[in-house]
Amino acid sequence: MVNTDGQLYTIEGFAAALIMIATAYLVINATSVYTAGDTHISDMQLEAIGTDALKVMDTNESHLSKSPLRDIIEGTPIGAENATFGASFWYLINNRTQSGLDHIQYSASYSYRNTTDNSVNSAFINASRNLSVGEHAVRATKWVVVNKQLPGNITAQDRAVLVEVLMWRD
Amino acid sequence: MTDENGNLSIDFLAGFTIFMLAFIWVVSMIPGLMIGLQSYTIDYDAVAYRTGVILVEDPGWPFSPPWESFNDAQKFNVTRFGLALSKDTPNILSEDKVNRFFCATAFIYPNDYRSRVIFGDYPYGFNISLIDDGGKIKSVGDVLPEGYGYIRRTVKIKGTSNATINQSYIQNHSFTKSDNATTHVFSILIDNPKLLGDITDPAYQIDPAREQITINITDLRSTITNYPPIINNTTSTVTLRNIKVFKQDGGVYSNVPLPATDFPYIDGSSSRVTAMPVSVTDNITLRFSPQFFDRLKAQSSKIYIALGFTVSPESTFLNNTQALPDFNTLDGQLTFNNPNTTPFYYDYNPANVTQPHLRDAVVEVAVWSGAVTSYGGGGPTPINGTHTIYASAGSGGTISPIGSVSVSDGANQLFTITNNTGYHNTDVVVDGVSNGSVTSYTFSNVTQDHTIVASFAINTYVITPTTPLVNGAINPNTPQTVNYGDTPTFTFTPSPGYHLDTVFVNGTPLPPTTPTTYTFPAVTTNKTISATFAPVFFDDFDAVASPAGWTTTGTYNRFTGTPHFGAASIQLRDEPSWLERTISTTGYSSITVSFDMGSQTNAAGHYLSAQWSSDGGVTWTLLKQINDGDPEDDDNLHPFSYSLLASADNNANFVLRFSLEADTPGDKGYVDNVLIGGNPI
Amino acid sequence: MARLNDDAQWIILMGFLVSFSFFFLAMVINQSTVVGQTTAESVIEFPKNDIRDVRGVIISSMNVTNPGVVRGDITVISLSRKNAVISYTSPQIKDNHTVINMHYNNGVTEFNENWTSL
Repeated sequence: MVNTDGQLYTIEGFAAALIMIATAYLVINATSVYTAGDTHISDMQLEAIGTDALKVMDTNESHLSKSPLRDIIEGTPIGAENATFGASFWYLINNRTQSGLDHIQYSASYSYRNTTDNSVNSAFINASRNLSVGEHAVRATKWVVVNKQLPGNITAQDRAVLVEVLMWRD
Repeated sequence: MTDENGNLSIDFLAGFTIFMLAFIWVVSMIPGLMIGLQSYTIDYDAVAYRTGVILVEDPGWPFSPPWESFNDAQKFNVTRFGLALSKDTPNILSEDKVNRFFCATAFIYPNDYRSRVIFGDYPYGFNISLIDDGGKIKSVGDVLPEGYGYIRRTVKIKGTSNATINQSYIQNHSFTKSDNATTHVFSILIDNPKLLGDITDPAYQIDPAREQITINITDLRSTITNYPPIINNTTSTVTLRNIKVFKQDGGVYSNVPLPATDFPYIDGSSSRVTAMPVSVTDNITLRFSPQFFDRLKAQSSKIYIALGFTVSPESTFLNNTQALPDFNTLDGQLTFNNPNTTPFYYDYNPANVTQPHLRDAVVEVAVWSGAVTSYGGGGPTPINGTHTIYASAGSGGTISPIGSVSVSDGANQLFTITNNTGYHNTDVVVDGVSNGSVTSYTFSNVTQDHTIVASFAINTYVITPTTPLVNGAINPNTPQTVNYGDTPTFTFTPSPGYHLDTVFVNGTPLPPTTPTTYTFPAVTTNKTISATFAPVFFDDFDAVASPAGWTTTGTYNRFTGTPHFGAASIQLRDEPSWLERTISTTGYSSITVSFDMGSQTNAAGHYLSAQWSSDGGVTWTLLKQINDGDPEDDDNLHPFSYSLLASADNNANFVLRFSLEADTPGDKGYVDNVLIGGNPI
Repeated sequence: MARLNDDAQWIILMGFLVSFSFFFLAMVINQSTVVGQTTAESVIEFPKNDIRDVRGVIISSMNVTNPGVVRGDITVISLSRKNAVISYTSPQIKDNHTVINMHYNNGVTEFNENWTSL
């Protein structure tokens, strides 16, 4: 009564079904989940704001004056903190046209070279508050030529330093 | 499997069914794969970033002649907006470009901007705003929706340079004291090779071909009057004859006609003067547009601007160019060789010229999908063709439909205004225009947003008290306007001896609310109020049947001779006579008695007395006795009034008696106006 | 059996067809989810501000008294803090113009310029 005749289509049907289901299973498992792309946009915005602010601070107000950033670095001894930097920089990164002020925190320092041993050290300028563990920060940098006596030298001379600012959102 | 009989084998059916089931199940998983596909939300930030870069770091196209110098009719020549000063100065913006970009009369949101700064086929909505350190916000674009892409750039804006030539400059630098003349020539030198060569950084450079130059010459009047010889302020005149512009190339002067679009502003006027010569009172402002210098192509030439003045009378004045007899022949030859005179140098000397100053500013760009309706009435027609009518009603009524009503473009909308009970419509204001107190309003063919506000006011009614009242007063005694539903109170003050008896409202007698007041229930119509006052007992004996109701003894009569009050009094005479009455004071307290009494007795021991009893006549209390020879024994009526003890209160057996004790004809006693008053308990 | 009945092979073929198209769709979608990331990432990745900055500091340090020390500063600090190699020549005068040849490479982007003054 039961024989193998008539199982042709059934078997083929089963096989095709298995193939499709297996494929679907593989594909679903393999498709990447879109998650972290958005954070790059806010990073990009922060970096743009930071570099803009540093650039504005390094611009003279007229051809007669010197750049405020240069004045701050030249006038502050290494290891001392300078609050004037914070007063201008904080406002530059947080000012908006409407809806009040933004909440971006920063921590600024500059790197200089020690000519005796060619090492690169960093001097702290100012921070709005300390960066806590786990907060994701973006770095903006600006080269500044200052006339300053740096460790490794005896006299003040023209040197190039790199101002680095870490910024993060509250 | 199949044959013409139309039979299908079970095998085939089973196989095919399994296949189809699996197929359907697998296909239904495909939408789940597509969850991550929403690229356009990421796009907004990218478009905003790109727009921000174009605006802040690019000077725009065409760069020379600068796109901001095109007038409104030529705006189609502007290919791309950009606010930066030049491509070498990113983040430093030009003030002229900024002003032109945000000029709403020149460029129309959104189309003019989309093709010149946003780019792309997709119709993005956007909002670009700028705030400088003066706090002024410029913006172009729509109101920000919920989700949008955003970028913020910090920039500096370069201001323009200007020079002010005031009295101290004139007197200290260019004033040639030996020239007493009527014709004076004052010249200004714009040395382009020096300007462009001394400072090459566009952020600090003064380039007349790129930015506006302003020169103010002030204090003309005070200069001319303060320097000796003193000229009379009212009679001296200064006339600006002409302004000539010379271009010097390699020692050769050529005259450049000054177009009327660059004529000066005289005395603070807001429009340029139309023709010269023109008389000047105090100051001249020269404002040259960059196009004027650009057309001269004078990057390597010196430019002299010579102003010719006629001063009357002769005086030493604004003369730094050797005075020549005829200014009109001053063509191509300026004598600057006189070492005593120098032109005014427009250069980088901060003492003479205010240098261009860089000030902080912030630019924000927000971009979103463009199919958003705009609110606020009068905006552009939204893409999806509905408008909003805002309907609201004040207190006291309602409007239907209420709130934000969406209306399709071109449709009609009817609003019904209903007032609550006790209120009435006062006004229906449509788009700020009053329509009167209508009960319905129809907006026909709606093509933009509208507002409709219905106002209501509470109904008011007048309560009129009747004045004057008899034997009492009402307070307030003027017609009172009250609101619907109010419950005003009227106070009644009876005359002595009277109390408030009945209050009449619209003629209907009503009991008082309290012995002295009446409070209305909620008022819904106009009303009148009146009252009657009543004593406990009163008898003026004017009635013809007097003394009816009194128990009498002896000789008595109603007397109309002297003395009497009203029509008559009661006279007792000739023999012991009395007049007595039981007056119930039930329900009253603080009993008062007043009467008029007088006598004419002829012998001692004769008297007229008034007494009262609280126990029905068993014991008597004397109120007043007029003896023979008393001042009241003068054949006249005298008033007496007394407040009685508490035993008279609420007493059904209160008796009042007047008695004449006499036995001689000619002895007379008179009583009138007997009034018993009391306060209802 | 001499030859298997292959009338029903079309069912298997349909099954394969669906599977392959499923794979293809998944590949395409997989690519597209990376699109948005790339837009913002590419902005961060390209060192526009760094190059402008370096260019600016090289040009503004043209006239200092101790160019060698400044060059050392720039190259060493840039390598250690920014992971970029910078090298540039001292200013040379050619035809009344000053020329500086500068080179920047941060491992992903390379920039070369022969800067001439006006």
